[in-house]
Amino acid sequence: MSFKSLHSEDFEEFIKKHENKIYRTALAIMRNIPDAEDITQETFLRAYEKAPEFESCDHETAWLIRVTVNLCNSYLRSPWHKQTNQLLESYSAKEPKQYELLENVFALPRKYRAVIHLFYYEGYSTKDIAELTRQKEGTVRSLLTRARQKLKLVLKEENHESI
Amino acid sequence: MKAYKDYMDKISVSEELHKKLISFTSKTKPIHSSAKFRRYVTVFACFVVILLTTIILKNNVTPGTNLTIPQLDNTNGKDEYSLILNKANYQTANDIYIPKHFWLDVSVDELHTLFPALIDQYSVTATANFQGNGTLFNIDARAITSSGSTAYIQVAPGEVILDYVIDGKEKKSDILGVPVTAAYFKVQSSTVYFASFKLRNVGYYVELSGGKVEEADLAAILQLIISGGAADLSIFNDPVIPELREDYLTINEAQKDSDFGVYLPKNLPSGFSFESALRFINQEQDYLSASWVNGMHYINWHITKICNDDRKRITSVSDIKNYDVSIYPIPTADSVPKKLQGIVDNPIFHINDLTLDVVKARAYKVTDEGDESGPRMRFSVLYGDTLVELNAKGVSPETIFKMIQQIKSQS
Repeated sequence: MSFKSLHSEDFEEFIKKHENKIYRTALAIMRNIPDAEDITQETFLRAYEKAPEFESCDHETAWLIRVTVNLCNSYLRSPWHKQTNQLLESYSAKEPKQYELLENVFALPRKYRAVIHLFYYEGYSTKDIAELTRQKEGTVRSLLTRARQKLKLVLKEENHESI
Repeated sequence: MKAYKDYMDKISVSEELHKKLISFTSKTKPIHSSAKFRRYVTVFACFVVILLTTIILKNNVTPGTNLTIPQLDNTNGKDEYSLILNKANYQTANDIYIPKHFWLDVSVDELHTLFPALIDQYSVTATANFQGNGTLFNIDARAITSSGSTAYIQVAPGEVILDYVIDGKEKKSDILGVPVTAAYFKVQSSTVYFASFKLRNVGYYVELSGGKVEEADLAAILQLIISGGAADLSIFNDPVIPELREDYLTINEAQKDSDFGVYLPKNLPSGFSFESALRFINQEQDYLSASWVNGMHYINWHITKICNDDRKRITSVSDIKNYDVSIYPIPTADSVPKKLQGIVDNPIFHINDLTLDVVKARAYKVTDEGDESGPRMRFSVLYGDTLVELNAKGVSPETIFKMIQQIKSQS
């Protein structure tokens, strides 16, 4: 059953519940507002057109995040897509330390950014991320480790604790 | 990573995006407006305020609600009304979805009704955008000075759709007694100035940008528009509505489409199921599209009549630099010479020239973690004057070639 067959109020509730989560995930991976908005729209359009019957709230969220990550990958994989990193210009950091950390997180390759966001911000376990991104858990662990190492290499000593 | 969490916590979807998401429930699909509705505005010049006052009186124009025209004594208007500028955080996406959109050029007489004071100082052109039921959506206008600088102006019944977020508490300016929200944001080395306001029940948005633009230029043009009074939009009632279609079809309905149905493949590779089909007609486009999916693999078909612009992409199969993707390493944005980018991205082959080797030359693979691998390809095939563009992932060149040949025998 898709949302098409339900009342529009149900879908509006669904959007309100998940829109920020999906938008933030898309932003973390795409690093610019126009792309993240496109991805967010496409994700909810897919939910509207053909979302499966969800077994639980967690299942619902996981489905949306999986679709978002896949769409971001498809978008970025297009040979014609020029990647831009303008997130910090659009949403400014509140202090220099935060800026430095974010600048380095957003400079990471996309496979690291996705894993970092899902692990640190969404709080998913490596096992969950493996399922969401259809990777082996070992791969997710190694991506996380490498991302942390990359960040430590480029950040100042005093910021290590915050990573 | 607390700093990262704090940062992300503060980000949320804009009201505009939220509205777009909610709009899915109205059974319409979001599309992006064409480049003609995107706004890039440059510099503006000054005007003679005393002359303006004369024009207002001469034209007997009724200004906006509670409007009082002050006596202005400077001759360039730049210093009379200083704007209180808000800082805008960013501009959100510029795309506006108009259900069954159609548009009409605004005539000179209509321009005089819309911008009675402005039109004496600027060369103004405008397009009226309508929804499919004939309701005016907005007016997109461009006002150009003799020096060539341009202002973008949007006029809409009720409210204009704004695409900015003011950083902090919004402050209003007063222009000829009308409260105006003015703001700016920086784009690299230049500044974009913009303002919105209402005159009676008509919303306005004005935008200026470019190296030499100053906030006084914005103030000057606002005075000209406001002094002309609220636009009478009733002149756009009852427009002639062109043929418009935006119909989501079943596969059976799509295959029965009298214009393009025979160009849809009848037999799909195993595992693929029908996803959607759209018959779309407006003043610029007339097409049938359909898509099938198999997990993360897809086949998209887009059928239309060939136009002159498309003809530049027709290639002979002997000219392999125009289509053989194996010549160009990914990212092709960097490896394909600029003059070949259009044709290499989506070459058009005559159906009688197409061979399996040509289809194979279009296939490429990109491996990506988290995705299903499979050959991808995009190109177009010309059947007489009907153009079929196909875009596929996870289907072999052999299968695609068979599908194309199948259509040849149907059509």
